[in-house]
Amino acid sequence: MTKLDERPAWQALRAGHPDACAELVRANYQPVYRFLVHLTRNIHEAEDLTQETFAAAWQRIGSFEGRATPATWLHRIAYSKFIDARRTQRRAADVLDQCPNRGGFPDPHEIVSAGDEVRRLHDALNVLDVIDRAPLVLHYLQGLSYREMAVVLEEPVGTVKWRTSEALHRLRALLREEVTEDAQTETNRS
Amino acid sequence: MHKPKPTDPNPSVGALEARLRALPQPAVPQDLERRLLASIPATPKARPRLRRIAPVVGLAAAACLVVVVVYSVAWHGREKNQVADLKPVHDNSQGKTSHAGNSGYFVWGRTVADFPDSLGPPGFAWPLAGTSPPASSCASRAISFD
Repeated sequence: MTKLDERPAWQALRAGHPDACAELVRANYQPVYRFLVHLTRNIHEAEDLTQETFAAAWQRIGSFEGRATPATWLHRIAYSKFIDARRTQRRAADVLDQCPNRGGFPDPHEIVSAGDEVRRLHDALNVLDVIDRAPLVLHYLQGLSYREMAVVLEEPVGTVKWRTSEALHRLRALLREEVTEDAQTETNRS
Repeated sequence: MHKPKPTDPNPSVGALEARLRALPQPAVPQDLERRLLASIPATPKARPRLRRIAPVVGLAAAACLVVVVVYSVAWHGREKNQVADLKPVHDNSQGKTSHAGNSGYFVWGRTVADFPDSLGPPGFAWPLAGTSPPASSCASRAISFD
């Protein structure tokens, strides 16, 4: 994961220097976008939320105290944007539940080209609830430490560790169930 | 069509972690970077509110302090003048004693200037007419100790 490793650059950011802001975008927009794709399961919504995340970042940049890295801070904003969007969507006819994978992620071409195992893992990950999916994505796909995850999810480090472990076990159980179902289908066919 | 079986139907936690880390990431739209860069505000951001208002608060506090000091100095000066005004001055030509300057002399919410010179400040009158305070003596009569 690309991270900004620059305290002096952050000072320039706080002063609102456009070059420093551009550097922040280049270093972090991809991880932020991917994180949001995994959360929303929709590339269009993820794109919108990425833009909203950075727009919010420019508004709050003066109040950033530098306790976390810029990447963690941006993930925190992105996560809160996602939560806000989900609340709005729930109010407006529960769109997420009606269309669990409406944005074309993963791309159908990707599914075909990717291995069967990858597809299964992807499907199982998408079946998980956001409460379980978020820590898995942050830790294993985004590469955040538990401490950084605690900042993003606004929970104690111990709780974040426990949640990640629980989510991993749920994912494992899902994969096992799927394998069992597939085996039964094969047996019935034969 | 033959469906290939997964290599590890019951992966361990460690293997699952490794598979998660190796999961391909979604592609990022090419123009997203350009759009995000275009959204960067051109003007430098204002400083945090606390830092911005701190000098203003400091100046206001200093101004208040100056006002308080000036007023207290002026008050003490006026008090000194009033004490000087209350000292009696004997007028030899008219044979009477008066206050040198009595404009600041304050009696029950009115200054001496409010009264004619001949009257002077009003005297004290007992609230009950025709009565006077009972004569009392601190000395105990000898009979009390008989």
